[in-house]
Amino acid sequence: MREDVTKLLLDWSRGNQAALEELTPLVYKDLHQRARNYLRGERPGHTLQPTALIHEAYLRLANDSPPEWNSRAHFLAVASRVMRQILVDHARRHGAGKRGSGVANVSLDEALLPARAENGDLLALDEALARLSKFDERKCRIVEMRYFGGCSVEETAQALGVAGITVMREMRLAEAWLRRAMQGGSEST
Amino acid sequence: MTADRWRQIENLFEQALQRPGPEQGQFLNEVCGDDADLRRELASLLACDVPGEQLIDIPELAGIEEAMSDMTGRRIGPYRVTSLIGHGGMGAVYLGIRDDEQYQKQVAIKLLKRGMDTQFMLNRFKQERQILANLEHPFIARLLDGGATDDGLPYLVMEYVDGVPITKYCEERNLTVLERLRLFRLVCEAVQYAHQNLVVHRDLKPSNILTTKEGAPKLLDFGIAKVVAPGLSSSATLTRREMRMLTPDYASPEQVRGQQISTASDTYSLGAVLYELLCCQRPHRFQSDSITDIERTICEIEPEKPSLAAARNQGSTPTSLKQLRRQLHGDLDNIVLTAMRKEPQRRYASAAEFSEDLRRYMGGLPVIAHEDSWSYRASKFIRRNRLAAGAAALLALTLVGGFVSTTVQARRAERRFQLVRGLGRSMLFDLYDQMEHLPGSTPLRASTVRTVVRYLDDLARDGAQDPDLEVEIAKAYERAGSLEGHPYGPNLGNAAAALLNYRKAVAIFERLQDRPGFRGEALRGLIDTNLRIGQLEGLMGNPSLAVQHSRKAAAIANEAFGAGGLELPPSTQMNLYYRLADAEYEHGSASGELSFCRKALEVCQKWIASNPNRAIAACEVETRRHMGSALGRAGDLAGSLDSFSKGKQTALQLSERAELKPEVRYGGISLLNSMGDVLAAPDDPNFGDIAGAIEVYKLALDLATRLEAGDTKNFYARRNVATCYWRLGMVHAAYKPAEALDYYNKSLQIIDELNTRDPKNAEYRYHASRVYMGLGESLHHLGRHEEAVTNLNRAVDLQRAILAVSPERIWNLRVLSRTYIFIGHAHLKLGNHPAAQTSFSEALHTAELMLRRAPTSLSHQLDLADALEALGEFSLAIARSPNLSPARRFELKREARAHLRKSLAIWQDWTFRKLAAPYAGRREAKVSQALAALGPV
Repeated sequence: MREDVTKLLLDWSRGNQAALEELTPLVYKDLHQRARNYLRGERPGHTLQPTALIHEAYLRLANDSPPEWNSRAHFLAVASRVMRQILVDHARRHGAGKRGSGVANVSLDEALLPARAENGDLLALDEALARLSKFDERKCRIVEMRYFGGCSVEETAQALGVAGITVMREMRLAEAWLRRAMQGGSEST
Repeated sequence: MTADRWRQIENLFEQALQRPGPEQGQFLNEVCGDDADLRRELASLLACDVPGEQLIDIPELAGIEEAMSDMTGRRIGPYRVTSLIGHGGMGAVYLGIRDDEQYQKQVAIKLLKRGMDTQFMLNRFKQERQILANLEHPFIARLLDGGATDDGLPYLVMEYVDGVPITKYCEERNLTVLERLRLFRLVCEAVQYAHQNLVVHRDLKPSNILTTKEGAPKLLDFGIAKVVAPGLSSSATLTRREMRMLTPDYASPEQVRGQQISTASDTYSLGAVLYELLCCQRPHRFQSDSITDIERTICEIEPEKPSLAAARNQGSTPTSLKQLRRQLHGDLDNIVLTAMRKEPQRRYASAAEFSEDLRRYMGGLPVIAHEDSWSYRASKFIRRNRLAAGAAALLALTLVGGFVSTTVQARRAERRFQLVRGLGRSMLFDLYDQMEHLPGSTPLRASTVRTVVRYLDDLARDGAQDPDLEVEIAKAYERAGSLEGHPYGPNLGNAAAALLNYRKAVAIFERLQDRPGFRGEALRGLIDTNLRIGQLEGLMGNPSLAVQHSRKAAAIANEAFGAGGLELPPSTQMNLYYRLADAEYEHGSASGELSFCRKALEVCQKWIASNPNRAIAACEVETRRHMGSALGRAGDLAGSLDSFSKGKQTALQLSERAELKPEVRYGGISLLNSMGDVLAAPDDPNFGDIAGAIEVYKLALDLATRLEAGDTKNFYARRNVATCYWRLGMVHAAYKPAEALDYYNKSLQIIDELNTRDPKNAEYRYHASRVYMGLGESLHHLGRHEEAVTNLNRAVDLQRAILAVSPERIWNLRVLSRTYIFIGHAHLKLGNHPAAQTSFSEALHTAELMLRRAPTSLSHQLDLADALEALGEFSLAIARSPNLSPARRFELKREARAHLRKSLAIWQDWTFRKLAAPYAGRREAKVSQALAALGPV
């Protein structure tokens, strides 16, 4: 299993997009398990930031695996995408009118659930990212890594094989474009 | 979107960004030509360009854990989960069946989140279980069982209730007021029953009061709060987590404050629920979800009368609203508000009594509940205030139903009292904090402060005998003084008014210091205020008064802390020590300064050692920074660098911790910048290690940028970034002037932006003047002398403008003197000798002025030496011009020699006193060489 992952990573780093598709479910399961273990630990009072989770997961994977796993940057890229999926799935479920489905509510602490608005934003961003990736994959990856992976400019640059300035430059346009898309602005074809 | 098109857009977008905002439109016109689509595209993208603003906030994972671990189909103890019902703050709730087919009864299983202390919870549960299991009432959902899963998660099993929250039930069925009351009374019955069995619910709210379709209420989670979250029921201060578990809308003041909970707390919550049932609004409107705000709203602010609140209902017709208001007005208003009184003992004595009053209302009988009368409020006022006899008499008159005038006076008195209480708590302190971080209208703030001070004067004069009140007044004076004119904080530039307020504060503190119980507060106030007065006097040019006050502060501190009699929190102690150290520095006592810094370090280390909270480590950063700066000022460069290095690591670690307050993380930036300064900042003694300085400044910039990104509304954060850019410019100016220009421009951009938003703030002009000076210097090194002069003159203008308004700010003179030197150099290169001469002389004059005010300050001695050397070199340069008479040449050389000798004397003195050793040596060598080249005599 581990060899598969490493090979897929290598393929992906050589530009094989399909490899990423295959890689994601493998890593997802790993991450999911890691996340459960991480969350299992008694850590009252700690806020669970998604980005911390990724780094935590990476550390564990890195420690467990043989030395071939050295492309941390690539791992972060994948993990960012996975985290994006997790968050979006979760947002969809929460936003999906649980309350109106006729099931009895028992002790819901309404004040404590994440605000609907947050989920809405997240879904809007996800959608906008999907549209962006149709004509500029790299910007989509950059935003993914920066936002969902909490990666630094350096890490993002390394993963995508570009310079740090490029990352920052691309981010700027990407954010402007996404912001416009999220506000419902139309773009030219 | 084709690839080419996109590339085109990218390119043009980037180019457009190079141009300042107003010019972008023009640029677009030029490059887009006829292509309207392209122009539209670019324009809209540029409009959406908000650098630094995040697109979204990534939500916390709090709920994801549930999503990822859905237990449907699995077993929890002897129960099998059939479906997920919902999520809550405590955990997820599932529908389940008991798996050993004894009875196929449906149950609700509450699986508690990780993070709850399982063992503790289980223990409590065992204790409570018996009591809770005995609660048998048709309107109370029974607690059946409890345990822990194999995974170690605690769970509770309850009777499953098929119903909706009471509020929803009433809304869906459009119940009339009377019908709602009838339903509510059933709820009261249940609560009364529980109370009689000595069980308090502690967390009553609509989602805990379900109603079945048959119209029967069912109360859930009775007493669970005690099991699950002990903090909610004990008298301990609530942790933030526990605070979040309370639904603030229905929580009583004593709950929010962590005080004793009783059946009266349930009564309060019931009242809040009734409030919502009657007027479809929640009783409180919170400004934010900060704990202080919540606490304040619940504990101090009276909810609006339900009849009035109902007016805000949307979706109701005007006639129905009017009817509702009429129905609620009067008795029902009073009943609800009685249940929700802040003081537990003033509420209904029991749920039964609450219910009884409702019955009386429904039957058209007079109710017990009454409005908070003026007499009650007045008597509250008297008890709290313990006014002088005269004022009390006034109030007594009003109680009898007195005269309009006395009522008005009494009202004014109460208002004033409220104002002071408000002052102490929110107004001035909030104002202070806000001024620190946000721009705003300085004139408005000024007038606010003045109004406040007038009230304070009135109050103080009215002879408030209550020492509590006096302390509040004194503190308020202190704050007002800082706002008026304290130079190191936000200020309105009025030093005289500040002093006046400080002295008023001192007078009160002095009076209070012998009062038992108030000594600590009074001493702290005396030390603090005397320090501030000292600082201000110093800046106003009264050095002897300055010394007098700060030595006084030191004396009080030494006596108070030394005897161990004064117990102050470590942060306060350290703060006082820092300021005492600063005062010592002002009076030229380097040893005094260092000794206080060491005391601060002692306190700091003790505090860290005894307290594992990592956030406290921040004080180490602050202390190392002070020590480092103090050592630098005392001329011990090596010690200074060492101190900074020690603080650096902690600073970097702390900056990573996003949950810490911004002020804590900013300390790191300061320290790194100070460290860079000692490594290579040209305007103070340094190691000449430019590379080292750049590295550290870049770290500081990185920190500042990150903090700014996370805190975009905070202008203090933006300013930090500007200062970091400025420093990078400064260190590059002499050796890589082109890069320096770039940094300076970046800094200026931010400063200009901040200045536009808050033009009255003198701070920005000061920073701008430093940047212009730097720009001038860089341009000079690049050979662009005319531009240099323009920028430098700009700097001078700004400085002069500041000094015209606040002549006490001597540190401005440092910038001025250095700017003049650069101007002189530039004019020299342009061949304009008279102008150069004037500038250098101005520099010397300014430096001498500074030195007169603070003769022992090393920085000022350095400035003087710089000015002397500049003049000396100038004379020498002129002396080399052709066509000079020998007499003139001789004269010039003599002048040069005189200036250089004076400068040499300074460096030799430093060397003798072993001050700033490597640096002084370099300077001395340089001047000696120049003198040697001049020749003898």
